[in-house]
Amino acid sequence: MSEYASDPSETDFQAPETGGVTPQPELKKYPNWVELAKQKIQEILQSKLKQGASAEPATDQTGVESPADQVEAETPQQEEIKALTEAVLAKISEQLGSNPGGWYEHQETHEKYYVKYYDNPDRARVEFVANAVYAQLGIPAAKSELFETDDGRLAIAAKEIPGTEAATGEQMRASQDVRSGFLADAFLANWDVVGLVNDNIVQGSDGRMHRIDNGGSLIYRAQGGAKNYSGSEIPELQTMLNPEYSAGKVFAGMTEEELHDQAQNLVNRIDKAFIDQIIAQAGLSGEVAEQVREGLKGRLQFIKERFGVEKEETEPNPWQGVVERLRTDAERVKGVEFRGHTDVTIDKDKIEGQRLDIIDARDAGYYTVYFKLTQGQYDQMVQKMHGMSEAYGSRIAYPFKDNYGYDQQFDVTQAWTIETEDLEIRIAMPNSSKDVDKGNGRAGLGLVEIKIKTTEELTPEMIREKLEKAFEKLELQEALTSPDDEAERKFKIARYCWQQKIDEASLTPEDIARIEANLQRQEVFPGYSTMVEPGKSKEYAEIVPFAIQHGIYNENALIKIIRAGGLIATQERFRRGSAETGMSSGTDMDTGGADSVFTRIITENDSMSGGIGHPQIIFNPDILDRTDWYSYETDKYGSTAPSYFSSRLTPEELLQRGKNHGLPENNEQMFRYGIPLDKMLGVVVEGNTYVEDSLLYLLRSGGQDVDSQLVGRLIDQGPSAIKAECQSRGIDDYMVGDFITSDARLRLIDKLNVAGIQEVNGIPVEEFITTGQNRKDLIKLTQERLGQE
Amino acid sequence: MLRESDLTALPEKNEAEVDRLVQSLGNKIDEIQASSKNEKEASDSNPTNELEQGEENV
Repeated sequence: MSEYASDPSETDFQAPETGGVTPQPELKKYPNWVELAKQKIQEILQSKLKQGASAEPATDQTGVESPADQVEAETPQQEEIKALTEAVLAKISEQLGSNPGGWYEHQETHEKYYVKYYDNPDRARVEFVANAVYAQLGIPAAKSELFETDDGRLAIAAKEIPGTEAATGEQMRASQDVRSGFLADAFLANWDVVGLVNDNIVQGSDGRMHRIDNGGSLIYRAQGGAKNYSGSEIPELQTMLNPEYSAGKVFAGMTEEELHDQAQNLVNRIDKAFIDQIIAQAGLSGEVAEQVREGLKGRLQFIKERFGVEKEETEPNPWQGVVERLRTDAERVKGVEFRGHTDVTIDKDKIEGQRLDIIDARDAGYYTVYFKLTQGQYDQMVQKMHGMSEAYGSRIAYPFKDNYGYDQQFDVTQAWTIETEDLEIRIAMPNSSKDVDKGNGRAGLGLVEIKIKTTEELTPEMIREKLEKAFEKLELQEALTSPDDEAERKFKIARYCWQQKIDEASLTPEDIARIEANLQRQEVFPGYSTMVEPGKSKEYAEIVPFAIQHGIYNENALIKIIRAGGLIATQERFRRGSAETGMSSGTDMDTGGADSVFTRIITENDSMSGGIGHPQIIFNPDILDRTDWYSYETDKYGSTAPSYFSSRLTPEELLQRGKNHGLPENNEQMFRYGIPLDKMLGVVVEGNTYVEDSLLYLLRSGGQDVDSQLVGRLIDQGPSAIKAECQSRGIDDYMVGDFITSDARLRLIDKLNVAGIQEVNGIPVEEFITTGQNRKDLIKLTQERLGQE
Repeated sequence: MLRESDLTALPEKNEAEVDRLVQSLGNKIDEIQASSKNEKEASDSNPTNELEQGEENV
């Protein structure tokens, strides 16, 4: 790899062929970017320097004219242009010339990355730290990740900023994005932030100025040499304002007030814990890590003292971290064709559950935001929509990719639509069917869908701004505020009364005090929060011992449930782009059951005589602490239709009936949104009494003696151990396969193993999947599993 | 986590990258030439001022 030299005349302009590094096959079509650059620079110099180019330009060792040599450096200006020309060529040579850096596309996601390969891995790590600091401060900059190359080197990849264009110094001086990052640039000692030819800050199609090359930060110079990064002071607060340098030309004239505001923002968002975290995340170690740590922590302290600022205690901002949460969630469900999602807690009383669901559907061209209006608010909205001339009729439909990768839509309901340049707002039309119990998408009732049209990642502030516009159209501005203490209190009472079917007016002051003290908002599924009353499930268990189960009718679904992080309601699965359908997804969308996941409760007094049947997931009974579940004694497809819903049971009623005469096998307990994986205690399958005999027979077919204890041990240890033992005995694979397939437990364990799942919630799958003889065994197994915790 | 084997090089974007850097260089040359012109104009106008001032002084 060629290195910059301190004297531009020493710069190595060698092309890949002569640089001693094997050229990448993809670069064959364009074998020499440096030559191409030289030609283009030559053209631009000819047009801009009409006088001064020599008739016989000098050539370098590649045989290509060196454009810099065409500039006859007679004046200081010409000297400067010559040096800059050489610096641009050096940069191209370093990044595209003699190593395989440059632009790449991810074959699966089709995301584009600018990748840089450094011989010194710490340069990549330090650049990663600098980019992370900008991200933390909300300053547009390269979003980078580190990865190891196939030959063990460390590379840094920055995601494409769409539609970038070169920015002029004048544009930078006028840009708030550029100016507001000055203190961060000085904090990071990012001397080369602007770039020699203003090439390190670019304008994206979002109109914002992005710092795209921050490799000259902290302990390194842009060319990779070391620099002193002291924590005791920040000399860059002066030097980077000196107009003799590129940075100073852009930042000249920063006021003390601007610097103070930037210092406050920096101190609010960056603390010592963040610095430690980001250094660890970058993988820095040893002396380099300590240099960076001491420098950053020292400079943080310096900023506090120099500007007299301390971290401000701020009101919790529900929007903070939204984009990070979306990213983390997308990462979590990678490989399950689910889109990342998260929720934001807002509102007082207009929005059901006081929450917005945000889904990153930029693969389909937008972020989508869903919420349901509360009954009274929805009735008002319907009246408003009837009179709104700009609203036209269309449908709410969820786009997803089917199992063959084709784009499909799941149709939910008819809706009024309002469209603006960057938004599509849809409000579900009310139920027009004569059959009020099962018709026209009850799961769509009250539903509002807002699509924010973009393929680019937005900041939390930008998402909020877009939603403000949408809420203004709907005259719901008030709802976009965070719930205050009073709203939180009212929501607790409303949830409690909803679940316990109590009229709020009948609550005593003692009841209210107890509800306020006991209920708390908890994230009960990644990205979904509701009110929970911790310990309530234990009270229910005192009425009658019980188990909660969910039957799996397609064994492959278990793999998807585990990968997706739990059981997710039909409506959410479709919104998040999954083609996997449940047992009766269409019916559930009609009844309203699609907002929830279905479970059943088994009590000790049930009169069931049947076996386990399909594999059954058993859940931690403490999910009954949630206040967002409702209950039917028999199958109603989870209907929320008024005629059924009024007959739903309270938790006490349900368990009291279980105690008195047992519950019917088809009872339904509906949990809103989903139940997370960590609430799954295990999976129970029908026990096979002949499994030991069959395995004994199989092992003996190898012609050797079999220790009777070995059979039981192998069955406990699962398919891998059985396969290994059979192989050592020379038994045909197909016979082993037949044996494993014939047993429900071994078959399911094998499927999970093949899918790369070795344990669930820290329990090996061989233990997680267990056997039972009848459905009441589920109660015993639940208790056993809890006893093990 | 990215893997090198998942990445395919994009020659057309590399060419665009070269274009962008050359464009930046062009913009910078314009700036240098403009500031050089301004300086020249400023220095050209100075003698007149000095002369006027000198005349006053006389």
